Amino acid sequence: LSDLLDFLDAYQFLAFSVIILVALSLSTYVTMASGSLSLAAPAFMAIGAYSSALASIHWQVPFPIALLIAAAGGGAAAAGVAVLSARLRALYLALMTLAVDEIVVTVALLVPFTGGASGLSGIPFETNAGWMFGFAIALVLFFWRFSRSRTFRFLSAIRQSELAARSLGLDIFTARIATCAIGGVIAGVAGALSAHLDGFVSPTGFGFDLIITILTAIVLGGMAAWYGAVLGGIVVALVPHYLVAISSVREYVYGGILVLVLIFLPRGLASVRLPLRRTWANARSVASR
Amino acid sequence: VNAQQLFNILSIACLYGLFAVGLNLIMGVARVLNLAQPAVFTWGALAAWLVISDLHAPAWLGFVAALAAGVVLGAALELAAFRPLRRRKADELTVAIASIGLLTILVGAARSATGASFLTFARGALPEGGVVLPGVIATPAQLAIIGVTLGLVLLLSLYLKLSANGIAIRAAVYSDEVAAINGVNVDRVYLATVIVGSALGALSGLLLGWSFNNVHYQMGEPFILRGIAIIFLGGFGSVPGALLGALVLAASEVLSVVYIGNGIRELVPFAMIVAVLLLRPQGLLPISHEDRA
Repeated sequence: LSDLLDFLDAYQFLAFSVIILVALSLSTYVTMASGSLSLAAPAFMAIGAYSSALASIHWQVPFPIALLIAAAGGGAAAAGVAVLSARLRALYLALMTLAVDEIVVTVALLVPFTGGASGLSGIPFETNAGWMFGFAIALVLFFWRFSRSRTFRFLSAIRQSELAARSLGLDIFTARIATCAIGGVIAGVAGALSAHLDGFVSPTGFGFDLIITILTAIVLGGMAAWYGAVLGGIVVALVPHYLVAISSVREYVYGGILVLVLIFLPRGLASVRLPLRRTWANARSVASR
Repeated sequence: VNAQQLFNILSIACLYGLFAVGLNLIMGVARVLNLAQPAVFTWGALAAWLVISDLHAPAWLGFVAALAAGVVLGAALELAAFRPLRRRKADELTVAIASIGLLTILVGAARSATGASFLTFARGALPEGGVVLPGVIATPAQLAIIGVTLGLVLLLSLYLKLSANGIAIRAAVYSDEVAAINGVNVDRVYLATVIVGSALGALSGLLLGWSFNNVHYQMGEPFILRGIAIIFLGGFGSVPGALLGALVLAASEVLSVVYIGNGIRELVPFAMIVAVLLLRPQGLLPISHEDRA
């Protein structure tokens, strides 16, 4: 066990960056569960990071309260965007949320209380391994239960055919807003954890580059299941760690993953096991006959 | 607002317009929201810089190089990504996400090629200075932007309206199946459209690099959301719509700087995307299906 702890200690920061990216991928995945891809996770992460940082610096609130503020801020902002964009679908929704992200970054650069381009420093260092791994375990438990819930089957129905779902009397408007709010809460908490980990927040971390990273993770992992987003997040977060020597290689790898996976494996890594599983199910049904 | 500001709005609008017409042509005909267009834009400027300042060739060869970069990249994007995706019946959103991957690769390549440094054209390599017109002072780059944009858009419109190929393109927009039954080579129409749209994007990159005398691997970045804002505003696939959208965006940006302040300018395109999507998702000049492109 002590070997394991030593290993975790040595790779702690890598593990933290993996957890943050997995959280953002899951935050984006949950919006896709009802069939509408939102790219604004970095925006809600920024809102969580700034709100918990400001609350800690100016009001000295305890860390758990700061996390709650971040969760509420991220969730409320996401719900607000979802209400505004309720009529939009697919490409239009993706572009709308892309613009929302750029608006949040630009506003953070312009207004005085975020510290502009130089960012906010002096945020209390509160995030430790306990909080991070607790967050990761909470996420896994939530999605494990959620993917087996009745609600999730409603959402899948909406994703597969909105018209059919509506004719069954499912409330699509509320479902969309709820999934977006869950995504916003996850992104907000991830933002607060990373702000209190680094002791520093600046707008540059939440821009278009982060959207590309998240997109690469969920495209690679696939939309077939929540563990696809986890898998994609882990792989993509490890890429820069091993390729840090040559800066542009990261761009080629992310770009190459996006293009090649979408052409050759459009449902991502999580779909790879499916044919195997089907074979297994067939074998069993043949055996029972 | 004085005459100089109006002239500046016109030249910015023409630069945005040239970029957005290329983007919207690809959107309207090939049904690809090509988010890699800003990287093609950067490569247009880079190719011209390589030819003019590195190889000391005359300025007109720089224009040829920018056009060639657009043609080569356009063909590569269509053949390597857009065509295979179309074959697999990928939806619009999937293709747009794949084009973000292409953007990432091309920007990474531009960074490798320039070492992330700011490049400038050698003094005197391209016309500079001021041209005094009644009421305004124009730079040669501004005059070139206005002339090239208006000239090329006019040529393009006439070509689409009158030539046999233009009619084939419009037929493919109306229905690619019906067009194919009537003997139109639809694949070739898509390829030609992506090439022409990319060439316009590469040319606009050269014009921007010339007017600020600055070429940089990230110079296309502000154009990602500006391009989206313009074609949303003007309506998907419409050439006059792209020009009108470019004019509205350029005017809003310049006037917001004049009346509110400098920082607000970066917010204008994003605010415009949100406003158009919420209030008028079909754009200002929505086109009936028959008239697309």
